[in-house]
Amino acid sequence: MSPAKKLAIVIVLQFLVLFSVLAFKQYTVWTSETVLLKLQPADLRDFPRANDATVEYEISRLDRTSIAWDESAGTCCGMPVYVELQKQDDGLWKAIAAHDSHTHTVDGTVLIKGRAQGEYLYQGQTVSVYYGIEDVFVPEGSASQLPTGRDHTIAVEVKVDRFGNATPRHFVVDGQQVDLSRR
Amino acid sequence: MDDEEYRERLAHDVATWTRGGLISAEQEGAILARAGAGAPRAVGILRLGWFVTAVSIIGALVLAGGVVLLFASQWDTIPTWLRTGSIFAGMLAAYGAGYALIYRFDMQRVGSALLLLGVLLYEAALFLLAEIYNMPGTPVDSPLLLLLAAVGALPLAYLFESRIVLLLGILNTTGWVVAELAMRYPDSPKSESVMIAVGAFGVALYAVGQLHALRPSIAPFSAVYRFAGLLVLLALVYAFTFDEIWRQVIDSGVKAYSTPAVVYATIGLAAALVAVQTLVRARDTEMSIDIGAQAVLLAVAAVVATWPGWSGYSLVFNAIYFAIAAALVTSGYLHGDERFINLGLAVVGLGLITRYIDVFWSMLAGSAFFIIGGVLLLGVAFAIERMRSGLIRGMSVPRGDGGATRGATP
Repeated sequence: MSPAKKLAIVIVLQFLVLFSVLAFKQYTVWTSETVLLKLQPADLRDFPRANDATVEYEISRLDRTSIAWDESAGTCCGMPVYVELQKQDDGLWKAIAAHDSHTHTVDGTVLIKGRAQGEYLYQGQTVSVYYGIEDVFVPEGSASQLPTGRDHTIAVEVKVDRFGNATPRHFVVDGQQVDLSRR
Repeated sequence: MDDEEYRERLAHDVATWTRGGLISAEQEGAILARAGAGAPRAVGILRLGWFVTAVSIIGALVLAGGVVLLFASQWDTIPTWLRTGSIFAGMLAAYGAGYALIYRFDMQRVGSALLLLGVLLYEAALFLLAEIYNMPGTPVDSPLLLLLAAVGALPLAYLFESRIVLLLGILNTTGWVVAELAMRYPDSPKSESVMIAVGAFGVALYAVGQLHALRPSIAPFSAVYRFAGLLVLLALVYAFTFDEIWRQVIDSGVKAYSTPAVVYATIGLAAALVAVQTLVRARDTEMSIDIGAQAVLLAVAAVVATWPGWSGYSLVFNAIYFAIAAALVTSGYLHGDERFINLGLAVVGLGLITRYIDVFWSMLAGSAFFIIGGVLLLGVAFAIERMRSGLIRGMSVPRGDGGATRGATP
């Protein structure tokens, strides 16, 4: 095989990988349900200067006694768990159940896949769940454009595909999309 | 290894031997003349090749870092299409220039460095595109991106026989294994014991290196795999020499037989590679010891994975750590390879210093700790230097079997 052909194979393979990553991502965005997930009350001034802000959602800690938690659904150790989300009157989505498989119990709900990290026994039956959407893009130096304090409802618009994979899109403050720009 | 590369390496090695007093300047000249390295001026030019290689690789690394920093600093001001297009164009330019330099202008070293730059830009592209299209936290998450980086790097390494790109690919794969395990089992009682899979992965890399040595076309990659495997293995064994880790495992209440299947799958994969060696490698004493050591390491990994809650493991891993160091020194001595001797002695030194700090930090007053430590270090350095000199002198004496000294002519 000539060196030119070898190089062509390498370049085609690498471009295929790169385009596959982009295509998978776009497919997820185009075919996904859009849900609005409320953040835990926190002082957003603590956001780092880096490009990602680590956030915690209300569904990041789930009380097993307040939602329908399947016996077989994982509660720790990175076990997969499918959390069933239902839209509320205020437009925000809340957890109503947790399953060990991709199963809807109510029409119109969305299942988001997470990994159970463990129980907070001192807080009753609260289970910490990691969804992989905890890092939200924040342009460097723009975190100050987000309001602070507890007087605002801060949420993140998240796309969830039919397999439960989720992608954070942008912040929503008091129902309004926030387009952050570099300062 | 082609003739030119061999002569360059020989020129580099004999210069080291001359500086170390092992051979005279006349003997150096005679060796090089015998190997066809030519006049002293030509030898100097040959040695310059190593310098060009080093500068080229550093240049590729610095340039790739600069590109990433440029994108990071101008994040919002560059339109998305331009960012994406620039990344792809940069890759194509690096590969095109590398190809032209190697095959049109016969500049192998700088051309190879540009191929390395192309791979680095590809890997940067994976992460930059994830940022540009806001992908963090998706199934296309960073551990998987590391695996995809390896998928793009390894074919280039094999097709263009690039050891530095192979090392990069192995680094990506190892990073993926570690990150995947850390992500799947974060802050759980299983976290520490699950990492035993990394040790098995190190053994697997080493075994792959031994199998590469059997085929001349890929034999140059053997040392890269073995070196990478040893480093991965040593890093894990070193971490497991601390008894604090095992106390945490016991305190966390992790139970026997609770290790995830992925750990046993990794050990099984490594065991299969060890078994293949028994079938295809030439049977001699060294091969038996080598394969036996790999099998013992995997057996220890399986025991630790199954029954992780025992405080005595730190002693076991200390023994393994120093046994690997001794094996490195012995292997370097038997094969006349100074690099393995130096690596083994460095491993011994690190182990001794670590244990000294580990044991005496809380037992001695600050001044006594440093005074005694300094004296001990000087003593250890004296002993190691003396041993190293003896070993290298021993390597320079022709042995009866006649096959061990590198560069020996029939």
